Amino acid sequence: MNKLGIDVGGTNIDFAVVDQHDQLLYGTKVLSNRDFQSCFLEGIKALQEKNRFKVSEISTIHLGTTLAINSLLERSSLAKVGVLRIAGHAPDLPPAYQWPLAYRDAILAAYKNIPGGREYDNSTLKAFDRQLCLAAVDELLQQGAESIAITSVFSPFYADDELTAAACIKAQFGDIPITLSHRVGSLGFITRENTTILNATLQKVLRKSFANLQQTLNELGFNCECFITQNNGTLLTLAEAIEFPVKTIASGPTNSIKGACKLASCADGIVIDIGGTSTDLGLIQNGLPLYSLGGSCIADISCQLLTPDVNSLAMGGGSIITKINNTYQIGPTSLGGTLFESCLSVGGPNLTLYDVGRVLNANTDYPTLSVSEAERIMQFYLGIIKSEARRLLPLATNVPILLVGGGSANIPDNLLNNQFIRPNNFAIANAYGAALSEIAGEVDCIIDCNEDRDRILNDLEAQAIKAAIQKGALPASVKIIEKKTLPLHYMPTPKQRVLITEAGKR
Amino acid sequence: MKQLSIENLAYLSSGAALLGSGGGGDPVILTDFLHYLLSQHGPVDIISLAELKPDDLVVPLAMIGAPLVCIERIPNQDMFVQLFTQIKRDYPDKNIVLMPAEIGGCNALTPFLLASIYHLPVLDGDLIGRAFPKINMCKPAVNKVSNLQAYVSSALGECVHFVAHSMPDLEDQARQITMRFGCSAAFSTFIFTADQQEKYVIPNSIMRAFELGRQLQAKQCPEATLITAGVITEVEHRIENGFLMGHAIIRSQAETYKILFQNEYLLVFKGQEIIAESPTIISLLETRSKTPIASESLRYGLQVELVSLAPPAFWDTPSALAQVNRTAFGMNVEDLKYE
Repeated sequence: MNKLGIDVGGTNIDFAVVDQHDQLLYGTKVLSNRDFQSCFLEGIKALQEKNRFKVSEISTIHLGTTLAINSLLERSSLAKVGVLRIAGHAPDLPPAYQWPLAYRDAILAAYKNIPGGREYDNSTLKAFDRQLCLAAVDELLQQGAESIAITSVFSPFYADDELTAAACIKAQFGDIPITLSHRVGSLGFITRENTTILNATLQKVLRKSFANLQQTLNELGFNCECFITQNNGTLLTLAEAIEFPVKTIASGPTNSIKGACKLASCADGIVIDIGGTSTDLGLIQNGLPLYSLGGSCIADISCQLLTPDVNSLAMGGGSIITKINNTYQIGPTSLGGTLFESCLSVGGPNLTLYDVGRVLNANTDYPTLSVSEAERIMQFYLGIIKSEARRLLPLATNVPILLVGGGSANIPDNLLNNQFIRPNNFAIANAYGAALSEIAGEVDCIIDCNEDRDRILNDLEAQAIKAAIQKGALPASVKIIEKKTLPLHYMPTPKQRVLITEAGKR
Repeated sequence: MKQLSIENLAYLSSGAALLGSGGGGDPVILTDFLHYLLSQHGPVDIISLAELKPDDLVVPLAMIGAPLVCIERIPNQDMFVQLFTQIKRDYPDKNIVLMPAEIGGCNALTPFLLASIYHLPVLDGDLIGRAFPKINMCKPAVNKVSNLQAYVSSALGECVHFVAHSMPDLEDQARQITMRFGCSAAFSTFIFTADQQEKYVIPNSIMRAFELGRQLQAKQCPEATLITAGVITEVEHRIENGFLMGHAIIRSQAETYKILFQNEYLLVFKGQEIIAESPTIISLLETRSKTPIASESLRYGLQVELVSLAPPAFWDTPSALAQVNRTAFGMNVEDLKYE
């Protein structure tokens, strides 16, 4: 049985079919310019015609999507969020205070603070009051809230007040979407609240797009479950993804890094993903992306997501190139979707890397672009990405640099020294990365250091393994992905946050 | 007259992080709240020692407790308002001037929270000139001042005033009360009058932090001496007596460095040789952004620059040095060398 990896991007939907040994069999790319179902159908048809693909051979579908991040960046289909704080000491700093205004305006409906929350030692900060909670939510709804984000003080240790609030809101107001902060974040009130608000606002778009996904797939003849890839490179069930869309927000770079790594059979190196408007550089270590710890930022909003540490340059295949004296400037403006209407190659006025690549690959002058100038421009661009790569990894001078993404086709082979690897199927690295994702069981909790620490850690590991198997991982394939203990220092009773991820194949 | 405003807050914040030498709490935990208060109440005046008037009472201010509690149960105005009300009641005839108790780390910002609410001036100085983990590691403690009283107030508006019989007792009582107040509280001790300033103040700390922050944001910091640039290849964190202890190994092209911390970075080995130690200010900057990295945020694979800065001249005297050198921190060099 094979796996199908699908990458739903802003411009393209990519498909990758992978055998049980994780080898890429074949794939295809279609434009994502219509509704999901039509695009899927076109992709499946293409696979059937070219590769004798059969839907019955697919045992699982892994779908990676930029829906959440694009919806946020474009501020479209976002739900208006009512922010409910359960903080007995009534902090003065309002929610979303340091957010870019455009996002605050698009997302926040209203904000209320009510008594409740705990101290570090589980003593009551102020007693939770059911009536005040309901009155606050009533007002949030009246001010236009479509989704409620609830953050209570010390909820990652003591979640009771958030759970009680959710229960009494459901009982009173029915089935409105609610995100509880302890489900999406750990200690750090503001960054956890930010993550909670982002999750609350994204619930609409994922619900809308994915509610019928399983049905669509069944109608196409698939008789298997569809999973969604999350930020850390493992899988969420469809229901989990709809409830926690924020966990899918950075899965794109994760998938492309993992896919590139496997396509090139490299465990360590630098991945450069060249798209239409950007060039993204990331690091791989032992086959996994290097993550930014702690301070992650989505759309300039600081939150608590584990996201790959990617350095994004605003220059890609469709970026406009201008000549300034004896040098060039690439980007930041990109022709984007109008590339094939206004670039030099179609008689348009704008010079792009795409044109440079065409001239170099054909080794033929354009009237306005000679081969020698095209080579100078491409060398200039390569100089920039090489120096960015050196900055990422100053000590390792000879690590492989993997080129993936549609835009990397613009660089002719003869300009790449042997440090560069452009693997076969580089254009569908993303979908391949999605197909490689595994089912994970996660444990994220806080333990007391005084107690028998090793025994506790072993128990937690067993819990994570069990969770992975319950979600469908093959027991023999389950292995540890991440085991991290973070001391919570200065705390009167020494505690540690433990993060364990175990993952396995389906 | 110099002022702190929302425009230059980032300079103070990053300069204070550098002077924090890896400890003192990341100033980021108070930056948003202070930004909010400054936007509500306007800028805060910063006065120099020369501008201090005879009737002025200088109140050093800090947050005490666990930084982690402070980022979870985020501070509110009440804790500072209550503290101020109590001090004002005890000193009705004095003009109150605030000052950071500790310029290194988040407490560089703490007095500005209260100052903005009541439009009080802040004195350009502090008690330490960097960050240190214990209350007895400050100028008035080295000078053995006899004034051992303190105020602690909570986020729920409680306030305790007490007089201690010794420096360890002062620290112990303050920490006990803080624990009772949810492990994060506003704290003031070593309050002094204008004529006593010589025994208390490390001058110009705030302006030093501002200047360092400006240099960091311009991504070049001539005042900091670059020891090496490299990658962190090993980190060990452990908790002992409430302190974050451990070490990190940094590899550069040719050399290996080992850096030891107890909240703050205290000692640097190059091979077997000690090349920097407390009270020298030792700091790690993230190579690309030049952001100072706190000891709790160290992790494998970070690109860093290891830098050192001269401590305030006060710490060079033998009596001061004895409070903060490696012996005072209980470090036995033979046990610590890089194997």
